[in-house]
Amino acid sequence: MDTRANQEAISLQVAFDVGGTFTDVVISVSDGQILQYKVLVEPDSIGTEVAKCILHAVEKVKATAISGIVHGTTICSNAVLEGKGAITGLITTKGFRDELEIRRLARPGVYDIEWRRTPPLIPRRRRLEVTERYLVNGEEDIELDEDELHEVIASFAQMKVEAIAVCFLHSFTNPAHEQRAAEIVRKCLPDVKVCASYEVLPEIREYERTSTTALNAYLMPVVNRYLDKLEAELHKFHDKPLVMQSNGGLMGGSHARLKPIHMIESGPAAGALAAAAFAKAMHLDSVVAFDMGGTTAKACLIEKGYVSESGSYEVGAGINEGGRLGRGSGYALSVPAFDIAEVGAGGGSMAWLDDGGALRVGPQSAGAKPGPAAYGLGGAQATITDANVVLGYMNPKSIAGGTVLIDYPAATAALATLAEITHMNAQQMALGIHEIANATMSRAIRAVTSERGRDPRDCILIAFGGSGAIHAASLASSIGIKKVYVPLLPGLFCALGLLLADMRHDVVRTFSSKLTDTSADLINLTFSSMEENLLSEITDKELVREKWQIVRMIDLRYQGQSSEMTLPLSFLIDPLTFPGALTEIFHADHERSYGYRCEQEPVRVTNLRIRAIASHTSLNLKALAKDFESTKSHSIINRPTRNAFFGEKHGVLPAVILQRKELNAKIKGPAIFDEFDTTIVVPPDWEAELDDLGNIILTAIDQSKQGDFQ
Amino acid sequence: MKRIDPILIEVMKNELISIGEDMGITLKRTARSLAAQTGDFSTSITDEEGRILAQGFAIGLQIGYVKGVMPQVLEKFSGKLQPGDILVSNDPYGGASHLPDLILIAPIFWDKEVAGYVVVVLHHSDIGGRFPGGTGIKCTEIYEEGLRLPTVKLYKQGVPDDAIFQIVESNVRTPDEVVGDLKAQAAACQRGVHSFVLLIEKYGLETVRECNEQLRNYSEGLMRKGIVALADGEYSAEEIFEDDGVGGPGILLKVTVKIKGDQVCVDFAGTASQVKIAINVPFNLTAACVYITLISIFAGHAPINAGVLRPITVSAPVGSVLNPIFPSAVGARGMMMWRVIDLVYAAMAKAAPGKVFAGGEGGNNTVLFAPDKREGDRKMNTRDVFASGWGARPNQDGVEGVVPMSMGGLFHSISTEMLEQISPVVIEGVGFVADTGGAGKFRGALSLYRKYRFLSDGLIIVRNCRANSLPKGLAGGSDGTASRVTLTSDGVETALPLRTMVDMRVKAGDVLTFVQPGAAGYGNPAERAAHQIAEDILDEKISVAYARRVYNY
Repeated sequence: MDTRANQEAISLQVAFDVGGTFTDVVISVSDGQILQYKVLVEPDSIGTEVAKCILHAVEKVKATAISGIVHGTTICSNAVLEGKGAITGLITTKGFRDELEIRRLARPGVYDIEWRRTPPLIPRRRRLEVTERYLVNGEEDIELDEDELHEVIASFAQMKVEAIAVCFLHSFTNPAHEQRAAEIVRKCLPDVKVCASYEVLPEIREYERTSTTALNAYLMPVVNRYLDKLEAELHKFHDKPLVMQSNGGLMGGSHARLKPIHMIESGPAAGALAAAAFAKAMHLDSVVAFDMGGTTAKACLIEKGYVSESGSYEVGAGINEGGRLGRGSGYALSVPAFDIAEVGAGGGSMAWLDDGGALRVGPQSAGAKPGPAAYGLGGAQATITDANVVLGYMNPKSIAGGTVLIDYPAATAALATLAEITHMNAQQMALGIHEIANATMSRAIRAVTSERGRDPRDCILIAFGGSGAIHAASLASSIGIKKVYVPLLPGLFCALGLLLADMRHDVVRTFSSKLTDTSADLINLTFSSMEENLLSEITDKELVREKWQIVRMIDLRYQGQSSEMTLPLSFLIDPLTFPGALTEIFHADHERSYGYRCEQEPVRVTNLRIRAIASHTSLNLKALAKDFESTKSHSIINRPTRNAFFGEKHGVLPAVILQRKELNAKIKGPAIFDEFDTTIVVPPDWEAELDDLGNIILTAIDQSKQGDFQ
Repeated sequence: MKRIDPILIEVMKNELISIGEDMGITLKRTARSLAAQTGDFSTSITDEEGRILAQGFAIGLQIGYVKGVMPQVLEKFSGKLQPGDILVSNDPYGGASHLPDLILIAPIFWDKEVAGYVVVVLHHSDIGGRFPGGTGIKCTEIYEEGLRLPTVKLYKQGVPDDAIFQIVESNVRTPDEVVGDLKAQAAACQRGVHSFVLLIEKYGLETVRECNEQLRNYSEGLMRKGIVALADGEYSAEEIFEDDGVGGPGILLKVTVKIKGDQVCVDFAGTASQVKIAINVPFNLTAACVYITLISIFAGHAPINAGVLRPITVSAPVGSVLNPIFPSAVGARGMMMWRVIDLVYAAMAKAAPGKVFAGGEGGNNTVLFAPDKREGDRKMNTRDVFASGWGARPNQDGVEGVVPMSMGGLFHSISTEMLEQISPVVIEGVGFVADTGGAGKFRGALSLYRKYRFLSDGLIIVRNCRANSLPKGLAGGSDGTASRVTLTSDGVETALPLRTMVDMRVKAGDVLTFVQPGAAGYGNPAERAAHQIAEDILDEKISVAYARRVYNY
């Protein structure tokens, strides 16, 4: 299927984003059209659903080729947040099995006697030890006791573990024991996924490395099962579907199977990328991308068009959070990623009453099955979506263009159960759930704004995700944000972002030396070998190697410091000016960042890094809007209305039901847009208008100037 | 002036914390010593009167230093400061704590007036004196403990005073580390000053001041609300600190907490006189111990600022071990300080039953190793800091493998791989010791052990805060379990003396095993849920035999 053979041939670029509840599919047609689909996630047949969409698209536009398939998924982050990863075992050097639980003795800095630490990812009963030891220089101190290893393997077999992480001390210096142990485990337990720490994070600091490796192992079976099914279903269209990573870059499926930790924020990263592209196109300086899906809500700060990034993460403590410094509350994860804060509040998040009788929402989600009661698939427990249906915000008959039917009585019944216990009516209960969800989500927004010393009120919210625009205005009100953009295809926004991404891989290797004790040649050579390794790993399956652009970076620090500065390098270090030129760049950079330099101090190299980027596809956002023209002729008078509850102050009001295209002038809430992929709620104190790019702009009405409104 | 509303106050609170964190990050990223890298420091911001506005990542106790040192700064340097100046102090008798804790203070200028100060405290790797590290217990006067710096200008209008740096350099065992750390501390100060000026530019000084006043009132309100809920009355506790340095019966510590309305007075009357070893606690630190304890009980989530301190009064007899008179030695006051915290908790357990946990391991324990020869890039000495965990709470087990309440902030233990890079030592193991800790309806944290094999001859100084006393159980919970420190040399294992601090020579190949105390339990062990016992057995945290014996399982 070669498109170059025939200029007229129509080809498709397929992007889909698998959420906790829906799979969103966006297909970019080579003639400029965009096709969109939204299907309920069938956990066992994600591929089948996507294949149906592709087939439909192929027929509709008479396509002759599929030029690529890219996708993002929340499968990893959901597994961690809900504790539903694989049954995992950990093998450590004798004497070190508890480090994963101790987490360097750290704790978040509050004086809270009630503090509960997130339970360890792998409980102690499945953390086993093997006698072996290397010294700091990589010299063998104690040889690997293979008999003991076999006993450990037998124990794990009995526990029916699905994955095993291996992390030995100093393996980043000498991986031989880890390699050997992993080899034996793989041989003895061929069905178990095995991950050795040197394969994932060959860097000093055993806790961070063990934790990252454990997370990787914990996710491997989940991702392997998922990708196996998916690729089998999609093989007939394309044999190299790509996966989104947390850093906004794409990778191939073979890589994803080995390193699922790079997919923790896979879906959300695509959304952040799309939001950044929008922010850039619209010249918005400070933006919070707010993405509310079926299971979680995410927030991410975008300044001057750039998504903030973080090199280390903590995940699983009720909130996934990029941190500048570990705080010991969740699980440490050291991979480069967009700095996205994620909380367990999505359309499918269930409402429940805690021991004290207080109403709580999430983080447990009804998922796609049984899903919210409103979907009529057997769900009986009230969810945020049920609340939004009962409040009148969502269409009481069907959503997603009629493909998902809404069971209004079931939603009311689910809420009534909770309401009865608390002596409220269903509507009050619904509002309570809506507001608690907002409070939870404002935590994510605060984590990326006020906790970074940015005033959220100076930011504009870009709201997307299936439920994002339902909550955006009320959430913004509670934080003091006055402007919300709802872009085109908000419910498919992450899928759209997938079409904007490049391929990207980051690799690091420890290289410990004083700059004066090494040579430019040795550094250049090490870089070459790292590149060779990476390219041989990724090119045969993903792309020809000529397409890759390589960026070389070096980590430097003054002798005795514990943290490095990462400097980009020109491709080859010039032996004639080495190490003088590089040393001077470091001094200058240190001075710029921290205000001082130490000319006499030796400078050390600690790591070499490479980043490989290859452009994949590009989608013109403006072209997308070109397709969209508002139909100016429509009048919004005599439009249908729906009764919706806006709280005690406003009570139940009739909200005008509109299509985006019908918005030909600024209107005042209450109004509701029922779109294919989402619902947009304009509360009574807000107004809405449309811009040239098809965005609906929601603005809080300044109460003091309300008289001016026409 | 911007309108002050709850959101602006929330933003201001986080802006201030964020500035403190930025200072902390600058320090941690660029400093040289192990203490700096593992977070034994704090960063604070004060207003022009020296009142604390916020702390960044902070060793909670260091709040006391700010309160102690700022009055001196105001008195001595009022009208004499210029933009770019940075002061240094480490005088325990001038508001500081012990000599290795160097405090840097920089004024923030706005419109030619001082609008506030930033304060950066860091525990340095050495400060000269008789023992490496400056925390030896055997000193009898502060003159033995190292270099004492009264509050002086270390930087004048941004330019380092070379004379002072030279004096420091020639008095400490680790000049490159100490000088590097001082520069990192100064950089952190400069970062803080710069950020605070930006904050004033953004909001206006008046708004910043008003927000801070409201933040103080808010924190104060939370504290008072917690206090007023308790019954008025006097609640006492006493304890013997086992090590008086002369093999005597120990040192009596006594506290009385008076709750009256929404105020707390904490008085240490009855406490023994100061001693001729270096465990006397300077008064500002005694007060800090009280602050941290009470904050955690009354308002654990309150923003930390001068407001939380307002309802609290602390007194200790002058000349007592908790309010010593110059020139008493104070270098090893750490062990005593942890005991004061435990003592105040014990009294508060009577005043606020159901709000206080049982005894933890008794404070951070440490092993300092100074090898005879310094090879390559390795450090002169390394001080490894660790803890076991918390005592049981009224409604749940104690947290295991974590630093005590007053050590939050940015502190974490050093990675084994890092430690082995900078010191000729092999860590043979770190972890939980089964069947330790106090039983109860909720159990205390298990003991955590650390085992070292030394690769070089050298000196070790071992600090064992509860060498010969047990963490106390509450509400029927059992006391914690004892510590045990042994040295195995040429195949022979010998227990170290039951002293809170022991210095001794080691040979290459010797193995030191440090089992810390296990934390105490809460409530009757007979009431412990069967599934919790079963889980602990599965996780090999307790043995079946232990479960039978202790829980009748």
